[in-house]
Amino acid sequence: MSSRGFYIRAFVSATMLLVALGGLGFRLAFLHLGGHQQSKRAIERTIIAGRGYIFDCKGGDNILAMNLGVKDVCVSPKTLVENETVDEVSALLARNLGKDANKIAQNIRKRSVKEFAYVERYVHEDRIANIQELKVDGVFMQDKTVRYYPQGNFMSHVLGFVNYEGVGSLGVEQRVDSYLRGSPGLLESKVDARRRELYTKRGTYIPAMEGADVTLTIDQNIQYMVEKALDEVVAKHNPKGAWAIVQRIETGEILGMASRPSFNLNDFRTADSDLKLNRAIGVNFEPGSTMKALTIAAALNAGVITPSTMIDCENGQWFYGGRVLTDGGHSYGIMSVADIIKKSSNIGTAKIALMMGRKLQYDYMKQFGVGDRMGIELPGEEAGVLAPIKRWSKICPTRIAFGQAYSVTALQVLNTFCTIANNGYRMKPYLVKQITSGDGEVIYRGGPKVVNRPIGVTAANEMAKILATVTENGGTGRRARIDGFTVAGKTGTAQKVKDGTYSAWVGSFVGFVPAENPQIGVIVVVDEPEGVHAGGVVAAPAFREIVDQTVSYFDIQPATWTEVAQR
Amino acid sequence: MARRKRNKKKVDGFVFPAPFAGFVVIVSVFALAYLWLGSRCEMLGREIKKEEGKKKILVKRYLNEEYRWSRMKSPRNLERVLNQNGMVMSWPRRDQIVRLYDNSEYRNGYAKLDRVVMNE
Repeated sequence: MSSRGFYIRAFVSATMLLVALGGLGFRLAFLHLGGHQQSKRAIERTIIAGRGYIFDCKGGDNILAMNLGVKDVCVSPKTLVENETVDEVSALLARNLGKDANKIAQNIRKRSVKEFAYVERYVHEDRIANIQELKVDGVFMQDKTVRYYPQGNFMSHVLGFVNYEGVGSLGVEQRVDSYLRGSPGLLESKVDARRRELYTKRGTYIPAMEGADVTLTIDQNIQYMVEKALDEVVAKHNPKGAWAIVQRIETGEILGMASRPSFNLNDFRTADSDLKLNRAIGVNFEPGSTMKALTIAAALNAGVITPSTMIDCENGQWFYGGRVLTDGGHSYGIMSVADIIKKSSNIGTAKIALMMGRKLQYDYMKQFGVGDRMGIELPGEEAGVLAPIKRWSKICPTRIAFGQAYSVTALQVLNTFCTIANNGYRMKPYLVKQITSGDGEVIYRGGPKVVNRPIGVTAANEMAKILATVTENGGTGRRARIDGFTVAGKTGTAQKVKDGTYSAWVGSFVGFVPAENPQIGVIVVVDEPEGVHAGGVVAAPAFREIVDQTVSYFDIQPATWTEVAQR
Repeated sequence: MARRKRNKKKVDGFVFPAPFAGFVVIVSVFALAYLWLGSRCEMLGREIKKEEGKKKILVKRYLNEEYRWSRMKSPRNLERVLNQNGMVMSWPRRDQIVRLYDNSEYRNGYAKLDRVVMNE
């Protein structure tokens, strides 16, 4: 072999090798540096922030709303039909999900050519542990993270729910949505051929800012007492609706708020809008006799009357402005102001309103917040309706005096009573105690806020004493009485316009306890009860039920007027 | 003479220049270090991904436990369980409560029994 031949072969081999390596290098550079490939490998993901928790007043101990991994139970109808296991699987699913097996089988057969169908959505894995263990062919689960309410239909109207888009749609969930929602994070990285993230190529990583946790002023034990009492009212009187609120007098904290009918928060999709209405703040109604307390308190404060002023309540009928006003068939004659409240005389209260004059009457009502929203942290709060004086007819002051011709929410009525109980200071009702960010920093703190002072301490104390007579023997609110305590309150049995005429009733009871040193204010409203409709019969027992347990729960001590006067 | 010349040529052909050898060694060390770092990063990345997965599962389990616990100690469930066991419970009356206060007069940490008249 000549050396020339060797050089030629070496040259050709080296050239071929260089060309091949050059080609591979070029391709490699193209793959790695080409913009098109780069963009295919690059990913940009939004990191979803976890929504904050909602707790009751005890904070982290009692979770009312949280995020939870749940599962959608799905089937492949085609597989089940081919395997001839439709009935068997339907029975298994029905047993675990509490559904009708025939209905499930029907739905599967209807979609027999399809590969996918939902059987039940958003199911907690506890309910389907059996199904998962069995690993049935044609049955599978899809993981989901949803907003979950551990106690189902408890506190529904206060908590609210989160819709499919993750937006709070009712109650606290809606009102403090921006806090609860948090801020999403960002991830910029690259993936391999199987679209798995290449951790070493991770570029930008901004972690999500978790939503803030909201602590309410509501105590879940008080709330349970309220809801239980309302359920008993509903079972006994079958009303169209019933609602109740418990408020701490000194601070304005809402300790419990419930409305019936209600709905399951974990199944909000099936509830119609009527069930979702928080009647405690979202229904205006003519309050009736409960608001006689406002008229009398205003007149006492204005010095128009004293508790012992005698008023002629006529013989059951009184003509004024061309219209007759009655006392529900009672002929009371001449009575003191205290007795007017105790017996709930319409005529007596109407006369006191006339003594006060319409301007003063209107001003006091506005100062007590009638016709204005209370500003509680819940959406859908109504303001009530109070016509301006210029639109009042001659008889208007007499009707407004005992709670007709204007409307209020239950929260407004309760707030009026709490103002009387709180030495005349009107507190802003609130139910968000604090909001804590993901890193533990308190970013909002709710607290007592005095709105105004419509009446002075003397009028307030006189009024509290008068209201305490309502639950004494001979008063209309005897059923609200509890052992060991003096209960101050007022019954309300208001007519309600239905189909254009006053043909329905709203019974209510509102009061506070202990009358001498008020701590807790409660209102119970029963809308269109069947049969008996008097507030003292339908609402007062529920009031007693709530108050009786609340005073024990909070360890509220009874007091006497003398003790309180000496303080 | 001719023999000496041939030997000299052979020795010259095998000589590896020292600077080049040093360069090759440094490049090799860097290359090996790079490969080691690369594989270490890869390994750590995989480890982190694994831990992230574990964390996700633990968070899920934690949330599930929180959910179960919240349900278990809800007032409604407590009452249901009490009823199941035939127990009727109500809030205590004032005369049924014995109050204990911190007895700072005596020694911190010791409680003092407040004897309410009703308790006698």
